[in-house]
Amino acid sequence: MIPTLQRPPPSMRTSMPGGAAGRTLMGLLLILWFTLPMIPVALWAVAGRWHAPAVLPQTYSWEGWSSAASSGLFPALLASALLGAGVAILATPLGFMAAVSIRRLPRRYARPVEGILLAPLAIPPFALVMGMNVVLLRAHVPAAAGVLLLLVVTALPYTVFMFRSALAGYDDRFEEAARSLGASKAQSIRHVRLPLLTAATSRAAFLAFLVGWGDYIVTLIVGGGQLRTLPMTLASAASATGNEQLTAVLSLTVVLPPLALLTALLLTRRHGRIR
Amino acid sequence: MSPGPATPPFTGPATFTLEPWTSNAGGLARSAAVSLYIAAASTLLACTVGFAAAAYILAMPRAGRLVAAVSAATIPIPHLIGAGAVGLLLSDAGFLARILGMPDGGFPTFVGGPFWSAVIFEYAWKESAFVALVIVGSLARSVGGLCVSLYIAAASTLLACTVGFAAAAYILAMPRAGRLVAAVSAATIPIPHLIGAGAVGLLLSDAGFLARILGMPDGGFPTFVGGPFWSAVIFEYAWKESAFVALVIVGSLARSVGGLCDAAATLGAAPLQRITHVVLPLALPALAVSGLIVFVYTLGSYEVPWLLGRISPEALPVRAVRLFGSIDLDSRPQAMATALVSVMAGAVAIIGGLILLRRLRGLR
Amino acid sequence: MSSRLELKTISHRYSDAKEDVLKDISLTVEASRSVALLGASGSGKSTLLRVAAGLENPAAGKVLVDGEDLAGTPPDRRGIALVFQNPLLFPHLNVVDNVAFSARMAGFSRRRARRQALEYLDLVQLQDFAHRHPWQLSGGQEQRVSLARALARQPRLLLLDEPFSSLDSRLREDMYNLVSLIREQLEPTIVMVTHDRREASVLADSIAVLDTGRILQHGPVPQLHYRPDSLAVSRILGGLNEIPGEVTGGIHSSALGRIKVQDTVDDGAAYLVIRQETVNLVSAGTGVVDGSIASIKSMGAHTLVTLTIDNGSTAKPAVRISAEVVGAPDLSIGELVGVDFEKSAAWAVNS
Repeated sequence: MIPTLQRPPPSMRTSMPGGAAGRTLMGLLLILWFTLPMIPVALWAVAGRWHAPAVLPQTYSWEGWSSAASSGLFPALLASALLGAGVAILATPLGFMAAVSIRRLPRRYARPVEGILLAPLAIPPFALVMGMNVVLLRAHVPAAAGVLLLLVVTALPYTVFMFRSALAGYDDRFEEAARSLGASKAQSIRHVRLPLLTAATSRAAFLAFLVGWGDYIVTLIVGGGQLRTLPMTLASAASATGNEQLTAVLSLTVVLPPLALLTALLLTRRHGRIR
Repeated sequence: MSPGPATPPFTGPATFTLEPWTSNAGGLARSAAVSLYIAAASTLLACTVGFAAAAYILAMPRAGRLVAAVSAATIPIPHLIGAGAVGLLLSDAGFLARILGMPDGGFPTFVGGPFWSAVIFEYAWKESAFVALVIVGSLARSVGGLCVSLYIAAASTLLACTVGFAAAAYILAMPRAGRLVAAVSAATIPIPHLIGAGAVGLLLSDAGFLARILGMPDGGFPTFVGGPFWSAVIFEYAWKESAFVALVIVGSLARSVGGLCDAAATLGAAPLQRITHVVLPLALPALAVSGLIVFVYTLGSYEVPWLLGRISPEALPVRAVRLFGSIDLDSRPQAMATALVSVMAGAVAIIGGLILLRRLRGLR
Repeated sequence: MSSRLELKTISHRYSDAKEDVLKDISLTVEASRSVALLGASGSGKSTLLRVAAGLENPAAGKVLVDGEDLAGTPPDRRGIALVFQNPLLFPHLNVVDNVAFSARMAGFSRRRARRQALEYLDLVQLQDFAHRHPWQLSGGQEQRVSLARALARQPRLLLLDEPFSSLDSRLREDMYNLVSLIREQLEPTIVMVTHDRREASVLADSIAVLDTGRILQHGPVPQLHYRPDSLAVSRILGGLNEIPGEVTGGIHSSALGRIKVQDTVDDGAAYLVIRQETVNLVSAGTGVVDGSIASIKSMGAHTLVTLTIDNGSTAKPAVRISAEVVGAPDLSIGELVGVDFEKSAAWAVNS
């Protein structure tokens, strides 16, 4: 997800106006901008007593975590993880197949097909869900399956896009070179195409996982309250007052696992895979 | 199948024939075509005028009321009366011909003319009022929400694009510190908006973290959360989406911008000129695409205005979801209408955005 | 628009590198002269241009233009234009606006900048392409626009960083003519970088040979070819003949016999370097020495004939000498022929 950065030339470095001091200040401001909202979350997660005028917590404790555990943190964690994994497992291969077939279609048909596949991005998720909810109820689809189905549809644009851009940068001549070096069709797929597309696959799966892991609106409307995922628990905590500790703890449990996953993805990439 | 020609009607053995269909097939087809033509033309015209009238009624508080009253008044008039009135208006020696001062000859034959103009006019006139009132009825409540949603989306997009571009320029320019900024901005991408909204709540609420840091916990601190300007909502969107905008720009520029900045420098472009004359125009397509995505997303997102926004006027998604979940059965269609409004607003934004983008590409 | 450039003891190292790319380099380019930096890739020649342009700050040393030290002057205020290997035309501007870029940066109105730009486009014969976009140009056209854009800056110095290396040979000839034309009309001071010794010879008055960050020799084009300072210089300029031997008192003795060489060479082991272009084949017994033909290689209009010197010497490996002769001589492998060259121009380098 982080684009590879080249060493910027000095002309670029001196392009930032404001001199060395200004540049440092701007860097600090940007880092502050991106981290600021998560600072109170981190503090509240370990705060015990933290009454109004105090800038920092007066006492620290794990209270928030124990109250989260007692209010169903672990089942919610499991439900979210399963939902995320389910979406990733379904949407990744579907996205790959869609991207490959778009690539093979003549341009005239490829355009509209791609448009349809990317359409869920253009439709507000709540509208999509409200419309589909009626259909799902009529068809007697169980709530959990309905949620999964809708989230796969929501995730598809991302996975298709990931594979589309990976395939756009992918040169078929790699495989042709492999064939001319004596690899069979299967071998060229196994030893050339798959390794070259690993990065795109992991990125697509990560995005699809995020769609399931962090979803609120689909679970809310289609799940009908039966599916207690982490965001559902968090939303009920955050919408009421006086739940700062619980909100913070739940926020961290939602945020940290994907970040760990992202770091792991980046670290494996650094070990010499082609992007 | 129709009964064939039987001498005494309805007696004797029934025979079947296609005679009535085929004997005058030309005339039948012609009548069908004329009816279809009239219906299509009238519908098109009625919808166009009706939509324009509805837009006017919704946009203008006073004059709109008058237009609404007049159009409502035309609803109870039967079509027969309408047809008579249109005849008086449009016939060869009718009212319009006299006004225009061409009673004999010169005036086109609307009534009984080749294009059925008078018929189409009558239908369009009466049905446009119907269309306008239906649209107004279904939209009136959503328009407030639409305005709020558009305001939030526009403000968030503007802020996200500004900060995102600044961050991207910094990431591209600074070798070490840029990497750190890239890492923190990438780290905000996987955070769901719901969590972002919760976090911004902890930060910006009346007794929140910022109020405590600034030392004004009671009173004095402006109401960002649920405040009149939707500041907390806009801040949350700008925060998360600026990271997205920054990474899109960095991704699209990382390869080319270094060399081009070198070239610009040797051609005499000062540092700030390199940003405004090279980096910004190069980033513009990426900025426009990501800005469009942010705009459409924020227009249709529910969680953030729900947690951080005001109750009245409601943002479109909040209103739709509330109505959808309401026990009152009547509110379901209203919820659907609201959803449709936000889908349409999104579609208009996308089409407009794409046209703008094409222009932008054309400029290059 | 021409100034004198002096580079004084310049050293440079990239932050992520282990070794200096430039080691203590000094070079002077007189006003209106053209100098080619010739070297293999990785020899640091492009870095030297970037240092001169101010795009890299050298770790040590000075860049002087007309005697003025440019340390601390940013690239945009140096008045030094650089034409890059990749044309780097701004994709958001059309051809004329690319050329007008520097005038716009200097604050001139769009109209005035464009009018001036059109003159430079005329110089590179691309006036008809003024309103095209960069992606509508061919590689040669792009590079010409890039050259016009650099000239429109009216630079004190024009730096060319292998600008023609990606063009095919015919386009390259056109560009050589264009550069000659520009030199006649504007007389700019030019420093160019190339790995093509022919290009360096055609475009430059003098050549500086760079190898692993050092300047091995700087001198006029013929001097580099016929009187190289070292074996490395001879090789970089494409010299093929290196006859091992011994110098005593200005006389080089080798398989070719005793030959008077220049006085400046030290006594001891030395190689006789003879450009293959100056070697003639004559009938056996009438030349400096006889040899048997070891290989015949066609080079198009010329033929490269390599001989093994065969005068009973026991030198191992056998001494070889190559001659580039016009046309396709009627010779066969193993044939004994005489080798002749101008003995008075003999040149030796110490090994």
